[in-house]
Amino acid sequence: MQIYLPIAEISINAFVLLGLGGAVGFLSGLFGVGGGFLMTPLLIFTGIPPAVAVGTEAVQIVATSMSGVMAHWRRNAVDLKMAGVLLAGGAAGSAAGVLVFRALRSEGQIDLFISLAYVLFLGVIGALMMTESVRAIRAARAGRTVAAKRPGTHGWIHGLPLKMRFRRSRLYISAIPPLLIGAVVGVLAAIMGVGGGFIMVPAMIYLLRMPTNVVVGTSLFQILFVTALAAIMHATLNQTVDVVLAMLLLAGGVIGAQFGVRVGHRLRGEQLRALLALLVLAVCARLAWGLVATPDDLFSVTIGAGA
Amino acid sequence: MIRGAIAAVSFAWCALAAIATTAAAQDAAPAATETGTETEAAADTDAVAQEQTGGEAVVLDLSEKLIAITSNFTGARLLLFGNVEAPDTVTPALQRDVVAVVRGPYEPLIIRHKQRMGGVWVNTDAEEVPAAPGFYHVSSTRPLADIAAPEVFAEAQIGLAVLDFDAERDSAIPLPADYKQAVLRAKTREELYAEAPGAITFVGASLFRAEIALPANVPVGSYIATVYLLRDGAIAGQRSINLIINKSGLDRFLYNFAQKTPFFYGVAAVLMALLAGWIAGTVFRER
Repeated sequence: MQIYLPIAEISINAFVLLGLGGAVGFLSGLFGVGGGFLMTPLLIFTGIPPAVAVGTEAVQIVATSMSGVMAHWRRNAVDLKMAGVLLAGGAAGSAAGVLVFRALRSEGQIDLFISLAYVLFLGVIGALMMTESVRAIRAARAGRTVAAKRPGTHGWIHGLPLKMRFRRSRLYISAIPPLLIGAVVGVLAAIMGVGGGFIMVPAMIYLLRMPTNVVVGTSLFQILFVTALAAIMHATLNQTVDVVLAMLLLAGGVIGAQFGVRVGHRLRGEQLRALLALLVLAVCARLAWGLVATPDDLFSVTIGAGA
Repeated sequence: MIRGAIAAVSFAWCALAAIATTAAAQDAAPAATETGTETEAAADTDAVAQEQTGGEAVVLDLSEKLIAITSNFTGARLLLFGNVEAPDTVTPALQRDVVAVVRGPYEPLIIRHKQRMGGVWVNTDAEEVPAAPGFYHVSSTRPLADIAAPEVFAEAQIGLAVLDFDAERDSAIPLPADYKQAVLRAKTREELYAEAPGAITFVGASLFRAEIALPANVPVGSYIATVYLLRDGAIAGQRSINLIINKSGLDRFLYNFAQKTPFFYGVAAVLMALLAGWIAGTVFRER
């Protein structure tokens, strides 16, 4: 069934969009990531203009993370205080990110920058997660247990001032690292059109050493607010939010996310991380290929007035 | 199918009446406010076409003059038809050629050129075009090269080969040829620019018709369809008619909402997303 999208100004099969939304929503619920790092490239591959893909994706992530947050909230798996600190950083970061986005776009370098940022972040994080989870899986097979949380570890993080007690996460750490993580994620969210969960979840696990069971709920909670902000900014500044497209994606997405959350509970933590790492590396490889492969047309034509 | 039926009926009606000038005049008024470049051409051709051709005149009409883009829009087929009023019955049809050009709303373009830098393809150079047609479709009775010399077509801006993007450029230097080719390539790929030699067919001695495919990504705005009558390698007459492509229904509402009050549109979109997420979260509540 073909449907015309009023802002994207193209006609596309509605079931393709529903299916895309469902598949990415499932992964979103499973891993606690917004799914934007998959959905944005997939939308562009289906012919949606990149700017509309980024703007609309923000709206869709709002809906998916809303239903995800509710599921985690009921299991008391959200550290509100931590989420608040992350959000404060995220709001500042996404505002800065929008300014960088506009500057890069007027220079015609935004596509390149987005791809480079994806390749860099996905590559590093995917590799780190993969080695860590493979090591954990091997250890579990050998009959040893590896503590997911090492409470005794005293790194540089514990030497920072502004210490706060995060009761739900059973942490007593400085507020500076979560603020910075929130800000970095906010910048990336605005520039890359993603929620930023794929950066935040590993950062919370490996840097802040939060218990894995509250990480997903807390990151979704922060993503919810940062993407809501990003969506409103994209709509206001660029008019690139297509609600018809968003509705189709999220109709599939919210349902997929619910199943994802449930399946996620049945899988073991290290297997989940290995799967996510694999996915992250696959997307990274695809984007890296796009950077070095000779394009079909060395010229690109876009509608719009100059810088 | 309904569209086809209407087209068929109106085509038959045209065959009887062969006059459709009043409709063109009615449509010219709303279009004039939208774009400057194209309407100037239309205004004067409408008035003078009949007189200047020395007895031989061309009239035309479209199956639709207002195309509404609704949520099930997948493109449209526009039927263009008209009549060449011959001065006498002995003029052979083959000495006459008809070329129809449909020009879409003009919009600015940025063309960027990529080069390999350190293994990665990077946009290095850019050129701007202040006003390029968003849609440009040329249909003709024969290949343009067989009809007249390139200079004739260049003067009237007929055909992709002579399409000029330099009209409103600031710099005196014309757009480099490879950039121009890039625009033609990109727009042709999107099916927005096309040449269809042989697409105009004569039905009988004086009646002609052509079908023009409008793709789903056709830009909204005001269009002008111009029919040129060529005799002995020169333009002997022309006539223009306006066409408006607009969104309608829910799509029109959403588009206007997003364009006119973007902040509230954004807030509404987020609220809608929150509601959808909340509904899903409630429906799929874990036991």
